[in-house]
Amino acid sequence: MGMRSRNEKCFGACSVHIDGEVMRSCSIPVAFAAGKRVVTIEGLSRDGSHPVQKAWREYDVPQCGYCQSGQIMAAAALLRKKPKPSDADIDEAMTNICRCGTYQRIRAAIHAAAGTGKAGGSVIHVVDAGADSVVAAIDDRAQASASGRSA
Amino acid sequence: MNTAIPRDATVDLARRHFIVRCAAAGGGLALGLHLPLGASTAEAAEASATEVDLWVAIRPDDTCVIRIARVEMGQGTRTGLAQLVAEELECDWNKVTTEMITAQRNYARKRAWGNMVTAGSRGIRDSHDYVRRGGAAARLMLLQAAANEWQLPVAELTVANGVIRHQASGRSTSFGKVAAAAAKLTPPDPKTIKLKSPRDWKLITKPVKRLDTADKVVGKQIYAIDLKLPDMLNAAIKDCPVFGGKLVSFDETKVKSMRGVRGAVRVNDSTVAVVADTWWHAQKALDALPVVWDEGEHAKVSSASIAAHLKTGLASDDAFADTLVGDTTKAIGAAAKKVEAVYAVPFVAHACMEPMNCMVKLSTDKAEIWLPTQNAEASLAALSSASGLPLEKCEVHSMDLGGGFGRRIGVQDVVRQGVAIAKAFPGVPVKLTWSREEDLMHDFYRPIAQARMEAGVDDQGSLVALHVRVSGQSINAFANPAAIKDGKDVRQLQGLWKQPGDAQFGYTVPNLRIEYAMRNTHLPVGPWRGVNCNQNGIFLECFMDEAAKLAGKDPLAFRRPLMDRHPKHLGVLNATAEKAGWGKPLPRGVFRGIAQFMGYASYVAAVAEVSVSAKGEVKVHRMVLGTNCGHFVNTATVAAQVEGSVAYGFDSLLTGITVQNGRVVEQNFDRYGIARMAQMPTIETVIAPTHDFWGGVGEPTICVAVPAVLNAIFAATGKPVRTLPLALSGLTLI
Ligand code: FES
Repeated sequence: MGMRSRNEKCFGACSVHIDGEVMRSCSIPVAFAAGKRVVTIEGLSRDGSHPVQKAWREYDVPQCGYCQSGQIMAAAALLRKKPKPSDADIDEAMTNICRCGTYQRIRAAIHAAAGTGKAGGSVIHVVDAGADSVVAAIDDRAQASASGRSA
Repeated sequence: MNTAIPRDATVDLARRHFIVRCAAAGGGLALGLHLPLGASTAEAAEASATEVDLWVAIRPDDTCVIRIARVEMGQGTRTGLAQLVAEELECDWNKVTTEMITAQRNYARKRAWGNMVTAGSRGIRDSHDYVRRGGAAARLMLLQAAANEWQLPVAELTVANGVIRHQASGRSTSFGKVAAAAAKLTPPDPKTIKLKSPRDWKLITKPVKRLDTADKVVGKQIYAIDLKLPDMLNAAIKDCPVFGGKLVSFDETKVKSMRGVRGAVRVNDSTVAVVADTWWHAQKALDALPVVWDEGEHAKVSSASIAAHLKTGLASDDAFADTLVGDTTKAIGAAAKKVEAVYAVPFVAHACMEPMNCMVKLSTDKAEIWLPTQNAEASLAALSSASGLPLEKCEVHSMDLGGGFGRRIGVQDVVRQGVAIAKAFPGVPVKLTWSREEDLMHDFYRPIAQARMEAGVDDQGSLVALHVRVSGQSINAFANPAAIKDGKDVRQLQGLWKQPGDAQFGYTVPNLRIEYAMRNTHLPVGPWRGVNCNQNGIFLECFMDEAAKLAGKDPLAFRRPLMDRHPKHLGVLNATAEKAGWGKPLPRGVFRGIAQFMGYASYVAAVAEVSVSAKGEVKVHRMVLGTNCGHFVNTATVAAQVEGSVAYGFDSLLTGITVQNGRVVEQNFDRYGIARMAQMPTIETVIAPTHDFWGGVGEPTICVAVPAVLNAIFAATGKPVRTLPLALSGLTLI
């Protein structure tokens, strides 16, 4: 649909799962979807208990939130195919755009949901009147990525 | 949390587009999940909550309803403002909920909740004082009510987590139990209230979780674009593709019989709309509608002609100098070495994820709108003037925004259009939604600008003269001409000002000239996240690296001695450089760039680590961004804004709006690039607070993110990047 996207100009806010594949509903003919299992964000879990949703909450991923249903659907589909994704897998699979720029936390939340042990998140240094501490805003694991580089 | 959902609304919680598409195709999939809402949660909350003061209402179950007068568009202001109130209220944070104040309510109570504009990184910094006083006043009233009930001196009572205790007698009560009595007391004079010392803050500065996350991860968050009202119609709109052109005529008969179409409407003298049962039908008919435009005098304008126009401002004598110290011409002439460069940045679009939209319902004695707006009071005023109804009869339902970034502040174009369309359908709700094409083609763009920069360094390698000449479009000339005094539009030099406090130039240079020549175009311009500081940050900080190279100095070492008299600028630069490991070895092929700037009352700096391939592929590996925003409320939110500002800044590296035949070329995301996951670096946030002022957070770091990357590219290639987007310098971001 033109409102959020239109086929090749799509940015994925409308992502749904059809027979387990993430697809952008804006570009799916209804005839194609007929008889297939269509899952929207609400279908992932009613109460937000899907591991991806839990990780999204843990990392406070959304900003405006507008793109987030699509991001979550894309992440859930990625994990179904690759239960332990690498950063490169994430780069390849997560092509939905986010104008608010939540990418770093999306990456961290996917790693956390997958239990790859690579979860990073926000890295925050508070340099305060000589006192210098690294505050892990999201959780302790944030520190791990302080010296990290993106692939 | 949305007060906006009316009693009789049905809300579509499923992925709307899929449903619309199914409906359009006559498909048999019934995914629509319509939930009739007897009353919105906020209304229900309001009904059972007792207002203690303007900012705090309390329910019998001890839930604290904290009122919020600034909108949430992703920047975390709702959570931050609630933290400020709750800190003084001493309530249980786990029992906090929030309620949006509407513009009508604020108007009816003589703007008791103050300014509602959510822009300029002002959500927290402009209201921290009165919202904390509001929380404190409520606490004092609740304590007094308990003291009255127990007939004890209030000084003997203590309060924590919403529970009031009397130590000696062992008595305790809770906020919910005394709220009704507290509400009857006279509130203390806010001026007499002593606020907590920052040293005693328990909630402020803590990375508490955002209050809006839960809804956003289960698809429950309702945006204005998602709303459905009974019997509503949908409108699609087309403004003359050439700015300033006119709508001559359109042939409604050609589309009238198309499926679902109710009619075509002349919206104003440059705009036509089609109204139909669904938006898809409306847009299809609009695409098919024969329209005759008078494209007017700008139909031949192109990016090349605009660039030539701006170029005339680089050396003209019509500029005004905002800063004039010494004699730059003489000093540069006499300098041991000199360098001159011309920089250019394009228009850029806001491209909010949620396109412009506005639902309007008009009747003879009531006008209502539902929309994402950064200024609900301006929306209310626009609604009143467009509908012809007095303010008392107007209501703005301000929904959480799917992005704002400056697009939805003062210009209430979508309100006026929506009302003009809805007038043709009295009593029927009409939702106007712009297509992405319309959104990109009729934005209020970041002003296009060029800058001629000249510097002279002495034989010691010190900067002795700097001449900054900015030539470009003025936001004020377009949006607020009254703000231009004696032809001097200082706003376009934001970030280069000599005055302290908001956006001060951070260097002391013995001969310094900073001037602006206004060169307007026919494109509308407006504030874009980091307003003007954006492009001025690029001009100044990239050129500082050119001057450093001329001086044969390290960019940080070159800057430091010039910043002695600007300790806060220098402080955050040093902190950022240290955390980034400035000067430490890097992997082969990786280079650093640095930048500092001040904007929105905060001092910021950034270091980028970048490699550039032989093919011009730029990879940003890591960025460290520092801010001294004085006080900060929530470290996690500050980091989120810093991270987001990098992405938003990267978008402006990737793309720009160009003009051909008077109209915008980039009409959708296939041509308008937005940074994606794979292009993002690892981002670290340095918070270096000095605790003596309140600075903004949403915007400032964007002003250093871009120049730090460009300076790293300069370090890697030896060639300064003077023209954006990157593609114009033969570079791509990977
Ligand atoms: S959270 Fe706003 S667009 Fe992604």
